[in-house]
Amino acid sequence: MLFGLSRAVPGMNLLALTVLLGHRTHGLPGALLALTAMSAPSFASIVALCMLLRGQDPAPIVRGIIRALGPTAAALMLHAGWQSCAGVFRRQSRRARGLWLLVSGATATLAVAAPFHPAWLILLGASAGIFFSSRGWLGNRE
Amino acid sequence: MSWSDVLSVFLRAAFLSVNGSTTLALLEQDLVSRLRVLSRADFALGVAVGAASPGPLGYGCIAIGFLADGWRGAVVAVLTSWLPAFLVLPLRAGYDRLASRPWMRGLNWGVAAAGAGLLGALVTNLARHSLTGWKEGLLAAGVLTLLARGVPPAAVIATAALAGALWLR
Repeated sequence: MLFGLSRAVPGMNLLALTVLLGHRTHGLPGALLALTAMSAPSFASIVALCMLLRGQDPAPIVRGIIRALGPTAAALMLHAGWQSCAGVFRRQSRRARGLWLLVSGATATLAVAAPFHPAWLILLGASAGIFFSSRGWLGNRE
Repeated sequence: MSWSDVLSVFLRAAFLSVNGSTTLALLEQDLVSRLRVLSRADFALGVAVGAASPGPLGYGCIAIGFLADGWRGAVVAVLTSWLPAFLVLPLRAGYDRLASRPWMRGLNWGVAAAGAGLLGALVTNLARHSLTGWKEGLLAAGVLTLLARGVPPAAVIATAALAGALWLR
């Protein structure tokens, strides 16, 4: 139930789960403390790495590392996207899968090709989802 | 960037996303494509640094905030990313009732599908910018293979960085 609930709110699921667990043990201060404890090591290491890698005139080795991080980031995001979509995709009926591809494909095309603000694209996707659901087109896989 | 720009960009990314990857996709749309305060190379650096560090992948937003706006950006990024998480507390009581409503399921489905599309756009933009030669293409394929084989992201990024230092300098 905690995991399902953490996925129901916007943002990073792990942070919502952290709030729930922290709140369960020590209320609101517990939730804040849990978030702080989880985030402090990330914050420190991220800022330190950014300061290290982003110099005005980096050495050739650092330039090579930075050049390698572009393709690496693209591959990482592709993998993360696949991981987060594959489960949802498998659980859906054939029609819902087709609609999913339609909505995500249209969103990707509009985001790449046209100057639409992403908030409008999310709103468009949400409206499409509510419409499809009202027509009974999003049933789970039998 | 002004205070209102920083706050609105990171609040939007936090509240309109469905997970860490879509947070990053929304930030790319705002900071790189729309406001142009961050280059694609810096954005890629932010994503990779976030993935190589402990914590969720979406914490790349801290690196992106730092690269776009210094300490202020990093602090705003981390604090705004916390805010939607607190929505779980009031939601607990009515979650079961709300989750079973068809319109709510439709809303979640639509936001997730649009989020996947934004993520697709982010990958396209990153690939278009960074896959400039066969060496970069080979590196991306290698990274994907290692990730698909279950190698931890931090180890994959360290390997890619080493390859870059030796091969792409």
